[in-house]
Amino acid sequence: MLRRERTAASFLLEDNTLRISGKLSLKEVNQLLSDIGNKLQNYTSDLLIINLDGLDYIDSAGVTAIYYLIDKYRENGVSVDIAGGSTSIRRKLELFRLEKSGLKGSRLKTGFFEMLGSSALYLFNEYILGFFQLAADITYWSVTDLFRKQMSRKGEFYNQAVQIGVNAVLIVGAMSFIIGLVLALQSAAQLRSFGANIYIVDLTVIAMMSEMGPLITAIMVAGRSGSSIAAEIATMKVTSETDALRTMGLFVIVPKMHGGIITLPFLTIIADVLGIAGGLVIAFTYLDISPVVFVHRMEECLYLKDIIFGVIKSVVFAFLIVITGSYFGFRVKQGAEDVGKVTTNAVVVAISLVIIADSIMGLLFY
Amino acid sequence: MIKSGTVKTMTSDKLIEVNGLTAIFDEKVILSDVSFHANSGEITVILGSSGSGKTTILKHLLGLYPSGEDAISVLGKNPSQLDEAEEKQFYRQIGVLYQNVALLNSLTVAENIALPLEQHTDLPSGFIEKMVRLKLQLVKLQDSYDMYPSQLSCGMLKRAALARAIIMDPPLLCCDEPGSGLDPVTMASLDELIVNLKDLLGITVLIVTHEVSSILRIADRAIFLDEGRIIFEGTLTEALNLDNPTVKEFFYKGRGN
Repeated sequence: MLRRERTAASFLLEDNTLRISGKLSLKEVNQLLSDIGNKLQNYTSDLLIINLDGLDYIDSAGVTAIYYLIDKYRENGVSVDIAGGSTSIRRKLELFRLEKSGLKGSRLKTGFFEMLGSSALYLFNEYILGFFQLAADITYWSVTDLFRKQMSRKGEFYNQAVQIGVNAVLIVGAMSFIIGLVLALQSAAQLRSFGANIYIVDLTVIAMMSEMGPLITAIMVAGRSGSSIAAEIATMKVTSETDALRTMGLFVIVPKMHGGIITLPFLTIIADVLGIAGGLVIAFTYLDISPVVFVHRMEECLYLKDIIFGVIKSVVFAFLIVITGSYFGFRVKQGAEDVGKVTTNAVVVAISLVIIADSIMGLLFY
Repeated sequence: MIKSGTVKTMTSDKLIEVNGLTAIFDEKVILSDVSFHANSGEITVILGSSGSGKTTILKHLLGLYPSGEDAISVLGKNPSQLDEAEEKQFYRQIGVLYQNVALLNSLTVAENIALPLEQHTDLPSGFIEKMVRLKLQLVKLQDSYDMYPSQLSCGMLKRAALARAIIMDPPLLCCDEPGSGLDPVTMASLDELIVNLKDLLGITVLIVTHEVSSILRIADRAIFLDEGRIIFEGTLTEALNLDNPTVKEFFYKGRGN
């Protein structure tokens, strides 16, 4: 039994009657629910009468609380009746009554296998099929646009080439130089113990040309441009800019694709050269191999096939980075929070795809 | 014209009182010695052309701009001079329908509407769900419970935002340009909804707008603002019969006559 001040509400549960009096608004609802809701477990009678004779004021929260209690008691096999209450209270009980259709959730319960099947289908349709469809679309438009020049805004190819390629030269170059340096440094000690100093050249050159150069460049570009493509397209989609461009006959990804595919091979070659330069520095300082000897040995061990192979790889990587960035950009559904999520996903997936593609191509062209 | 029956029985309680409010931004006078009041249980409309200072008044009333000690009283308090606990209590008592809706796009309609209840109360989730469904029923959006704001039309978004504004059963509802971006039919139904909610919940409504058709449908009292000054304050009938060229032109052109 509980009494509260007259100014607020008073709830009195005696025998099988709950008397609610005073004022029942959102402020008092919590008290009512915890006091009377908790008494449900020890409630022995199979009938509850809610008497509202003393109730002066009720708002929609109060009405909802009464119906909430009624549902709780009914779920436990107690039949509930409402008694008393002024005309205005009764009217509010009617007006704020939740219609039956509104009570039911719209989600239907599904079985385990149905859920498994539908999730697999959803995964396939949404992610895999969607990705390939977009890849096919982009490839088609990028190739046909080479001849028609209608899909991209004038000057946009140049802008994208600068953003994706030229602006990344410094960071890609610096990283490749450092990695070439470290790669040679780690190998130098091992090679010296066998007296195979000269093979530092083979190791650095072949590793940089066919593997490290394209991979470092692609990972750096995926981090830089993959994220910016995803964020840009996602924001454009949220603000309906992509629709506007589409109705003007412009396809926002085409210049990005052209920009990426043209600049990434050049970036890769810059990365190769600077990575080898890093190896040269270590060869000269640690193993006493002069630059002339280094270059001479390089001419012997470097084949054109390795250079071409690296360039082909970089084109594939550029394609994957732009497609992944665009795909996740277009996947955005809601506002700001979603833009952040798709950007992160774009970078993670782009880097993963680049590494997977690299290993597949490594196996094929070995 | 929709006119509520409660107008006749309205009390003379002043839920909002503004005395000599002046607002100056970057040496530009936006509001100059503005004084008015809004009665409890009525729909008060602040009207005037664009740039007359309507939204600035609303922001002052919501405590978003600082104001002098006795310049503003909303629900008996000056909103810009509240401590943390008072501020929390104050905002619990005011529902706001923003001009650009301001629903969080990453949450569903139901989550958006439940947000104030979850933030300010410890009520059980089953009760909160019932409250949200009831408010959605009141604004006739029952089927949009699980939808995201991006899936709703402009009119539906306004109604969802209205449901969020009234979720706490606030005694005061402030609406900033509720009709903007809506077609005349949807605007009329939103006006009707606001009037019905005022009757049902017994709340006081303050609306900032320049839509004449909307003003004629819902206003009990009108406050006419022109270049930061109040040129009229009174009932809608008085406003319509006023012999002031600015007010006359506003109503005349607004009706499309």
